[in-house]
Amino acid sequence: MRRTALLPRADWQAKVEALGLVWHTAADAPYWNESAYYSFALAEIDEIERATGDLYQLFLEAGDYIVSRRLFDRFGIPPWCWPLIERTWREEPPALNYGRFDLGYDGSGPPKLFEFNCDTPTSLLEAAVVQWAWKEERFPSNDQFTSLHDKLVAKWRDIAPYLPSRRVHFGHIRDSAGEDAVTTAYLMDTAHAAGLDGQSILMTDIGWDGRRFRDLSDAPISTLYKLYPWEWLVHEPFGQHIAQDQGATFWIEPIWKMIWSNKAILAVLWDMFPRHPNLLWASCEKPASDSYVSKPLLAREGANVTVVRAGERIAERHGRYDGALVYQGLFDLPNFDNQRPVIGSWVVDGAPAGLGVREDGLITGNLSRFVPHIIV
Amino acid sequence: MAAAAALNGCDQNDSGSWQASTATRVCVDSAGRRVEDDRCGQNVSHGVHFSYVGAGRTVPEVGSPVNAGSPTPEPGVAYTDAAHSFSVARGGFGGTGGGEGGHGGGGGE
Repeated sequence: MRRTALLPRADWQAKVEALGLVWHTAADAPYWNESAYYSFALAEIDEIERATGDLYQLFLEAGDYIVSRRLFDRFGIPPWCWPLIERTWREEPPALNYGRFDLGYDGSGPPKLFEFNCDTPTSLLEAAVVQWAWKEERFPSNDQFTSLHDKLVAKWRDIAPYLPSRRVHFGHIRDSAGEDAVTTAYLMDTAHAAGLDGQSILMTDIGWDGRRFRDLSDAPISTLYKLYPWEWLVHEPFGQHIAQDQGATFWIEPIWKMIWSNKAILAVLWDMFPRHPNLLWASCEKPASDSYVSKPLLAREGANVTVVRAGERIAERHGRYDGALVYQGLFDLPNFDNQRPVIGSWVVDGAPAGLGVREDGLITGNLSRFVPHIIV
Repeated sequence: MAAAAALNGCDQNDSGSWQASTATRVCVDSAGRRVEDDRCGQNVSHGVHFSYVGAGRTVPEVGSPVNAGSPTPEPGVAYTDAAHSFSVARGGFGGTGGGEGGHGGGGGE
């Protein structure tokens, strides 16, 4: 695993914008950073891919463990959601079963799980499309670890017969940078490619008629993909209507993702699989050790994460999240010219599907830069 | 994938009907089943016609039998097409997002 500096393409902004990446710059600095690239040996990619597949299996076992013991209190999940979670976990309604494992990896030891973003994962367009186009232009004879696009199309095609409608609504909120709108539009493209009809809708425009959810033209919403987290949905004014519509709306991803996307699962995983090579120690109890990372169960984009080494807070990111914390063993991210990469390893239908690299300091946040990669 | 179970899980047999919030005209075919509103007025010779129901009556899903209603409207009553005979509240989702920095505070991570 190496990081190599490289002159960006002269017109890189226009090129990535043409692919939809309109949020390429944030806070006056490139978010899409092609002034460097990461290169991985094939054996390293194999190791990341194997770890990703193994981690998915651990999550399946942990899900069974949590649901069968109704450990939902540990996750802060409202009781009215419990039957829905149990039912959808048991019945496996159609879903993309996609997500992004954030991994610590330095090329010398096994990848270590930081968290699993499997409810509303982003950096998807970057990983699936933009870095591939960059690779084709700059390193056409090299390969890259990404099969995301093809796997997403295949998964839509796979679940299409089981959806209640050909039309799928794609819900998101209006974000100033366009990231959510474009990421959702990209997923809608993959559904189109699988023969489904997509229709975009703002989450604020979703209507409730007393029995079911409807779109802006009052048409029933039968299948709803949402780039909007479950833990927000269930606490909003329409939240409990989800349990009242008698299954009239199919949600993608399903509500059971409230378990996997909650960082409390890190402690469950460690309890179930202590010293697993791809896990870091994790607990909801503050450790006796003086080096650890703490993060709220439901914080997003690195917010409210604190890194403690030898009893000293060496990094901290403020945010609006509070509540219960999970503590995790400290992983020494590799340091390339003060850039510390985190591997985002994707799965679709539970199978490894590619990776994206984001780099920053000790905490990866929503301004952390996406850097393309190749296989050498 | 437990496909059969998944389909059972989203059974919509009873979820497509609703109580009309206003006086409503329901388009009915010759077999007595509800059809799309725009079919009425086009093929009356094939027995497609409006059935008029009052507020609070059940409007069935398209394809389901229409068990109530009159073939003629009440004088002076304004009727709403069935597809719009319910009231829809909006704004109950989407209020939590936003407010974070970076790319604009979206729902992804």
